[in-house]
Amino acid sequence: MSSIQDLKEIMKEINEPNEFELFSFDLNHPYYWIFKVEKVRVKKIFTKIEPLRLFKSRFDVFINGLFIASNDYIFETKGDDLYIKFIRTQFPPLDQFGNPYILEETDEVKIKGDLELI
Amino acid sequence: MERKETNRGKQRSIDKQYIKGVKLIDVDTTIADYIVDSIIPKLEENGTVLKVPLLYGNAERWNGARKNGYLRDKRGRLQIPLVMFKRNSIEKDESLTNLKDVNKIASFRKYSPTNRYDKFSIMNNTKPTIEHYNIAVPSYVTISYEVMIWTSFTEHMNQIVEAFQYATDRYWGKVEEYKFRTRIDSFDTTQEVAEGSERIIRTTFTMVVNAYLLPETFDDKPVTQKVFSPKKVIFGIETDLTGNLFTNVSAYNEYQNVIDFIATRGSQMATFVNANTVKLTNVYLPLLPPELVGTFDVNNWFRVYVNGEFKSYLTYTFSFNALTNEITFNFTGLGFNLDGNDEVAITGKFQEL
Repeated sequence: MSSIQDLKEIMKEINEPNEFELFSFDLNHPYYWIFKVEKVRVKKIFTKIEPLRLFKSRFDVFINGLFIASNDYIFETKGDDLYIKFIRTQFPPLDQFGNPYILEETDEVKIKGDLELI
Repeated sequence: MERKETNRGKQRSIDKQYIKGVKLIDVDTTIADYIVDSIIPKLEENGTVLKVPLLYGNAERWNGARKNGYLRDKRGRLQIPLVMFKRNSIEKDESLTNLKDVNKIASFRKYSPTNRYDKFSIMNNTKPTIEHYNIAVPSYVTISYEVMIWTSFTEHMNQIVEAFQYATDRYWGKVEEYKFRTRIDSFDTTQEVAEGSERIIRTTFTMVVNAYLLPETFDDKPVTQKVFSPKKVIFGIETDLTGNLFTNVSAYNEYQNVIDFIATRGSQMATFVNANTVKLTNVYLPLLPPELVGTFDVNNWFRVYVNGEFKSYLTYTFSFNALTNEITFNFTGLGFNLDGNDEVAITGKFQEL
């Protein structure tokens, strides 16, 4: 394999972010709002560059366009599916209109980063 | 014409003594030799010792003996006493079926002329090689022989029949040569005294021999294969590069500076300093490689989110302190003052240490 081809492969791993939408999986869980996307995984990267890009920094999560800090959710994979479990206690008790803060099916949850379809 | 593909590694010379097959003639001669050497007793007649000959009954001899009841030699003399045998049939031994093309009978010889005892071998920790011979599984068969014995006296016949009877259900053959299990079930004895002829006692019986046949070559290949055991086993090192797609490390080494910069990505919650300032701690700010100057969008070095909302690069400036490993962000155009409850998340080109 030529060096140029190798460089292209590296760029695929680290410089071609993908974005996927997650859909509600379990919104009645007592501790989490759980969203799921099927047949998606985090890309593998070359071991030498792993320290430069920690796992938690490899993707960002957004709810309705707002950035969600990694402390506010738990990332899980089961089989070929990817789950984001938003921790209820990390979110404010009331929304901007004074109603209890909840996540619903209509909320747009997206994940963007080093991801690929299986 | 296409050249035949050869593998020199499989071309081993085998001494002729090891590629000897087992043929029908081998079975016949083994049985005949055993009868002559071990079974047929020496008879005594009028104080003289008689050696009973054994003949293989070819078609002419056998038919003549059957027709006349005896056998005469070239001078017309009655050949008596005499033992004659002939092979009747060969049947497949159903009790010993084997997958001939898959199974091999393994044997080995510890001595090999390729072994040398010298200091070089000891220094390199090489072990003596062993010659393995993989022999194909033979065809197991049951061969039946018919035997006729002629004597003049019952006493002589008794001695011969007793000897055969004692030898039944034994392995007939010589030490370190072929051996075949032989069975005799019954003897059929008749006495004939015709007018003007000699008194003849005749016994016939059938021998069943469990034998095996193995050709020397089959399909132009020898049935015995020679293999040498390894003299030394060396374990190598194998490295699994997790990034499966990226296999050529030399490419990484060649462009490491650029690749490391592109690969660098951090994501951290900033620490509140004051109403306009936050900082990232325990981080390193990489330098933009000269190769990427003009290509990389320095305005998007960081992505700053205040309470989840993205803030443009126009709203802040940043500085890196290499001594404290901190990047300080000074907001100038937010439109509001920060407080300790505001969440400022920053992602971008910085390495978390």
